[in-house]
Amino acid sequence: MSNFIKLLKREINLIIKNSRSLMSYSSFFLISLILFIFAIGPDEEILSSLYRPILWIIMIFALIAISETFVFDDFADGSLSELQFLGYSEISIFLAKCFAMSFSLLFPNLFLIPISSIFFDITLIFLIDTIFLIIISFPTLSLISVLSALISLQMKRNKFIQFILIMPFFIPVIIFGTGTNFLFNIDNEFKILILISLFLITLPLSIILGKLVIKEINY
Amino acid sequence: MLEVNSIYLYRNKRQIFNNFTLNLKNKEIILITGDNGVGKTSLLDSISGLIEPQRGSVKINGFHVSELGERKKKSFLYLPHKNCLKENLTINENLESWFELTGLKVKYEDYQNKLKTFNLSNLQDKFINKLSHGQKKKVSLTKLLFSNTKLWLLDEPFNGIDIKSSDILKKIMHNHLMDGGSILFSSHLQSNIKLTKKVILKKVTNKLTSKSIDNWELL
Repeated sequence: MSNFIKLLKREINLIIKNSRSLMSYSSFFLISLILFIFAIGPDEEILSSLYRPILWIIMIFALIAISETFVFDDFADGSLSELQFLGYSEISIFLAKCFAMSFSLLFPNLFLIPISSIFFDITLIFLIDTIFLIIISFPTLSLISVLSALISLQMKRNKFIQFILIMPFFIPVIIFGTGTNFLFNIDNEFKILILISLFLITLPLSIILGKLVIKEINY
Repeated sequence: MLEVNSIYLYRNKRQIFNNFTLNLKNKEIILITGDNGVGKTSLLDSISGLIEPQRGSVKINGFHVSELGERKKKSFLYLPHKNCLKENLTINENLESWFELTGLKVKYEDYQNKLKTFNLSNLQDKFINKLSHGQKKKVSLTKLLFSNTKLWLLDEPFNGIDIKSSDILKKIMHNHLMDGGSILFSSHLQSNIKLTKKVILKKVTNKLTSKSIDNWELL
């Protein structure tokens, strides 16, 4: 456990020192949102109905884009190998990256989401509900994003295959996070339980895959 | 101290090692040399447990390297050809992070004295991305001065450093041997270090083969 805390401290320290990644995430988020608004037009009804899907899609793409810096820098300078030959398990390395990513990116989201709601005609309750769903889903999204970055690295940064392999994992989270679940007539409380279940399913799966990919990167 | 027993390694569809055996005892220093791409780094990666040979075993102090786990950092020090330094951190921050990860406790005076060895005192607050290639290498080599492990694995330690620093490094290596330590290092440069053994690696074949050919020569 102390090893995991050491790794987590290291990751958070690196994020704090490298504010560039948080700035890129925030700017990607806001620029994409503004582009969406221009593309859809001024119709408030359409804008408010598309608020959640737009927000989620932008957030997922921003996460995928930023997750690479969490992994690639460590690979490029040899730190990823260093952690391994210092005896840190691949599982601890993977989880520390996911936790650090969750914590560090959740805070900008808590500012960005309310700011973005200004452009859309939505109620306060709807906004709080959206933030709540994102907070619940964020650990799952972080696990998938870090795994996606590792797979990209393993495949010599082949983005195309990365997207094809990883995108299906995001789909269930998007469905239950955006609220398109009305198609299945599911209650709000049940939706939250499903998002928690998705995290519990994703956690062991991504740990197994993450461990394998980190091991394979050295070959 | 180090036993490499009949390892077979295939990497990138190429046979790197065929029945390779090596023993390193206390106060011994072995140089691994050979042309580019013959597998010097692969050998050190196999010994450090980063890659696993298909057959054979690597034992450090009687323990299989894959079983060492957390004890790795206390069993050996590996300096790979990549410097393992974070570009957006200063020399002090990088070394502090390394102390934390290795569990080393270093006194301030001792730290300052050891920084003087490679003339890094004046640069300690500089960011790594502001340093030259040679200076980065010296920061990496400074880790040797703080290490309390008996076994050192060094990948091309003389690359990129000036003659003066090269002489300092030779002295550090000599002192380590006098203290009962042992060193396995790779280099394709000529050095006047008094060696216990010199292993010349040779390329076997470019195709994956099960044919057994010795691809190394002991001098």
